[in-house]
Amino acid sequence: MMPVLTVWAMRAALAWLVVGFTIGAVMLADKGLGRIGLGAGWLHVHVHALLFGFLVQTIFAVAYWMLPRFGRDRPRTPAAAAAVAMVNLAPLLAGGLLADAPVHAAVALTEATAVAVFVWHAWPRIKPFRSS
Amino acid sequence: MLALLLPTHLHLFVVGWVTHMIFGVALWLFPKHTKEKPRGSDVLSWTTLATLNLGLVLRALAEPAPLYLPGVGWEPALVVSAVLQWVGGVAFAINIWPRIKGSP
Repeated sequence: MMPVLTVWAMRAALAWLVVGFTIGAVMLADKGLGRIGLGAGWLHVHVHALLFGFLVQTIFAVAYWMLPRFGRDRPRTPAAAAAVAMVNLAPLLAGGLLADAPVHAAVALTEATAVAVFVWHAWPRIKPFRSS
Repeated sequence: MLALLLPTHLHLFVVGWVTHMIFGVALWLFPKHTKEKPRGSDVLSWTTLATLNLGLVLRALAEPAPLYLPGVGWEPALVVSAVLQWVGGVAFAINIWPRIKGSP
């Protein structure tokens, strides 16, 4: 069974998967039909939804669940939760690009911080087996 | 020419390899659905595999087609490819959702 953080992160990741695939499918179909003419903002939302909302969040969720623990404890859990919150915030911020909002830097900073914070969580859990 | 090949290259890598790896490992590793059907719906699993790959191959052929068959009209294939890949992604999400289970 999964820890609560993994459950919520995986559910959010699947939601971003559907959002990202839907936007991608509309863009690809439009490349064939040429009727809608979606702007570059949609490409950014597609990329951030799938790369960070789905892919990175899935990796965070499974790593939080699977990496070695210290007894029953997963250390620095608030950091992992903050990282998960940030990979959900970033694609939402990228949605601002649809309204030509200057959010590129905010999206990039949020994603970079999420990665750094998750690394801080996971670092002590990357450890060898203890030989008996 | 390279600009025309770039989306195909990116999708062959990100959908063809990374996404398949995630989907495959999740179907193997996530908590069992039920004792009778541990991996959920086999129909949805095979639908994911078939539609995602068919859609991707179709895209890989149709998207750079103006390079090698100019004027032939591959555009409808892009629409079919879009639908197939979308079905694959959604089928995976529906199938794996009940297998996201927390400790009681």
